[in-house]
Amino acid sequence: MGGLEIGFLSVGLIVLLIYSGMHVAIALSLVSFLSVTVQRGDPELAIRLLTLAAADGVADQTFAVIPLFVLMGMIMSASDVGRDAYDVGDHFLRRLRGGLGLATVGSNAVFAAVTGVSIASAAIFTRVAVPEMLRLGYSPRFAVGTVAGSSVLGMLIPPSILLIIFAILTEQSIGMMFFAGIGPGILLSSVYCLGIISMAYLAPSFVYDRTGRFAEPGAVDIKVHRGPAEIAAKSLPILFLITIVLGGIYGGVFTPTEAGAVGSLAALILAFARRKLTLARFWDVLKETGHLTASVCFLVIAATMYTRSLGLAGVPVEIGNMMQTATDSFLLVVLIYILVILFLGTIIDSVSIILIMVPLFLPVVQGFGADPIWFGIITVIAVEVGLLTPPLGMACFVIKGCLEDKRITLGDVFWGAAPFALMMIFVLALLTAFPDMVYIDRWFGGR
Amino acid sequence: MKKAPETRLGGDDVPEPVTLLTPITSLMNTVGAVFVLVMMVLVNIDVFGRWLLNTPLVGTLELTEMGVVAVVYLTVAHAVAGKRLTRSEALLGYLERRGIRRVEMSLRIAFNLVGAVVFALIAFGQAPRVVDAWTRGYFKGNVGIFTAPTWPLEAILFLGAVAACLQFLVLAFRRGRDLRQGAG
Repeated sequence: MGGLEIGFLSVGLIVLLIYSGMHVAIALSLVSFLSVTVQRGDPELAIRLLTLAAADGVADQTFAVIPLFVLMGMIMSASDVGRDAYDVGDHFLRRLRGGLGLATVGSNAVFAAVTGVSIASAAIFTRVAVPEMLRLGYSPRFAVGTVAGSSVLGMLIPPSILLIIFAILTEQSIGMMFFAGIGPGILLSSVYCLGIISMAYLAPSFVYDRTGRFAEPGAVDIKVHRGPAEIAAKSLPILFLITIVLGGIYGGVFTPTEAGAVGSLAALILAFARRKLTLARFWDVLKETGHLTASVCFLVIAATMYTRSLGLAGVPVEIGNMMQTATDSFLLVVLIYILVILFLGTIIDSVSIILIMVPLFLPVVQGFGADPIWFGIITVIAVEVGLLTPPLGMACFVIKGCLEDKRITLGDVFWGAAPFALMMIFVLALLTAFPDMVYIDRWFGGR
Repeated sequence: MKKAPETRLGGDDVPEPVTLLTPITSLMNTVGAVFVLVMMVLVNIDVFGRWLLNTPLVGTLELTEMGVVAVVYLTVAHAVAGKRLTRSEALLGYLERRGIRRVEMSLRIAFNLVGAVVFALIAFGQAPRVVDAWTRGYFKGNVGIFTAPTWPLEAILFLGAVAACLQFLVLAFRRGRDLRQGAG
């Protein structure tokens, strides 16, 4: 068996095993172990490779960004910062048509700048934004769809765990990766806002519920009075944290790891000072951080093993050659890549897809002279579409799990999220057509 | 698959504790959670020390590097026991809803056994590395500035892999019991 056959066989086997329900990290390790054993006929060598990956797969200071940013996001989530951001958006946008949808997108974008996990945003905004939208007569599908769509921003706008993992996997700078997330994050938020306003005018029956089954009569006329002091108290902490973390990284004061640690400490002090966090809850947050770190890092470890076994078989080089003889159209390669990711995204989770697909395709697109940072952003957006699509859109499941109103079905969540998935694909097309749009500093012609 | 953090917050939700193994796993998990906090504090001391007093904390780089690995292996067994390792429930959930429980349970047993095998392989390959690190006195860092022995980390790696292997065996055993009891 040649390297390419072994490579394809192992990728196929991995996808099959994951689809049938084996733990992703276990499937990756097992198949890599078997592949090395078959290639070299030496199980002992395969065990050595497995152990080596287990020991040094995450043994680098950059990996400390994962627990630290997870910790910061968890503290922020546990201390009602998401609700505060939403209240501020609500205050300013309530009167517009589709205004609460805009408020959800806007506050999610801001909240995304202090958390790195989409799932957390989805859970929080389901509790905060959905009841309010229903009360004011928005349709349930639109309400949950907006939350699902905008939760995706959490993974695109820095700090983001997916961007970190891509950067580590492809040896790009985390700071650069973060920077490249800002422009597309703003772009996607704007497309969402335009989409919401258009839907509110052109398809009001999708945005508003005519039957009034969910609305509270007269709720629209009740004025919620929030003084400037309250608005300031609700928006300053989150702005302060964004300044520390992103300002610190781009001002050259901190490395991303240090920004994660300083940001966590600041979030912790703020949360305790505002009495939003108890010690018991903080302890839970720490344990949860440990769990998330273990499951993400163990995936990375397994993927290290997988990447090395592919490299041993010479797969990346051979795939690169094959692609280049098969087609010289870069666009076609990107299209195939995005389609494969969208397909995998219906079942497998985001981190796993990145870890499986990027080692295969990065050498190919680099052969075409493509910018790896751009490639990372494209990958992250494509992967995140998977969060919104059935049968296994994680964001939709989480939203369904957090909904208090049991009349809203999982189907409603998927239908509501569909327009947002389409808008993401539109942004994907836009970024593919104009790769420079990834960098916000090139938006106005400068470079 | 990742669960909603709000509903799953609180690390102690290990169903059906097992004598000795569960307390040990929970203890390791607790130590792992403390390590996360310690890493945050260390990096902060380093940053503010460098910034305000111009004296960075020596060894922060080495300690955080080892800290991540330690956190992963200290908490991985607990994550296995709490069914927090990433997986796709699509097919298994479908089989469960359709009432094809025998196939579902057999698959779960098989997957848990494979999990145990993978962690056993890691533990098997790791054992000699612990011995080497101890007898030859391996360390990280630079002599004269900061050095930390690597054997505690190698030992944590070994123990974590063993504990995760055992947790997978426990899960497989339970599914086997469910299967015998008519997949109830």
